[in-house]
Amino acid sequence: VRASDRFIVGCLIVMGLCDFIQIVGGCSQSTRNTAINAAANTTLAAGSALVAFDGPHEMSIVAGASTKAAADAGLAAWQAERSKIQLAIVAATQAEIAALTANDNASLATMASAVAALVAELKADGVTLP
Amino acid sequence: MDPATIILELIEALAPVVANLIQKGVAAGLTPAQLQAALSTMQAQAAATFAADDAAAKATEAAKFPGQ
Repeated sequence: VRASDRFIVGCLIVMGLCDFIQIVGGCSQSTRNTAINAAANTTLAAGSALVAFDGPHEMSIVAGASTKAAADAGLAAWQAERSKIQLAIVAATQAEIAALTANDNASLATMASAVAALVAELKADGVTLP
Repeated sequence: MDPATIILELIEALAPVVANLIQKGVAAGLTPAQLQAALSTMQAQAAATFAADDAAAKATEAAKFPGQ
């Protein structure tokens, strides 16, 4: 099982535990901060992984194309995916900032969802976290 | 074992890469402003790298398919 998948499962479990602990006295601030910090680190690592992945991937698209039109189409398709990942990184970061600021369970849930969406985008395009 | 300890151990076990980054202090304890700044820096670096990557791919493409 990949670390990124385990992270998502972990976020979901943390959210569940936080909900439970909230009922009996509140999810601890340090635990919340650790979860947010882990999400922020994952998001920043995703940005670095995308930058490292881009150049070699574009070259492999050109190398694997049999015509210029096919290369153009392949590059355009990848660049569209790349833009989606960038948007997911921005969304995850904004959710992390909101979670740092708001200090409620709703913002933590939104953050976990945004990070999960980002990791799913990375996985779909073959970008692996370091 | 108390729930908070379980959660902390879980997070650490779940994401070795994240734990590694935190240990290195890459983004430990970022404030909202610092996180926003890190995002802006990342976006600027990505834009520059992607522009260079796109240009290199186009150059390689032109060399591979001359006249097309």
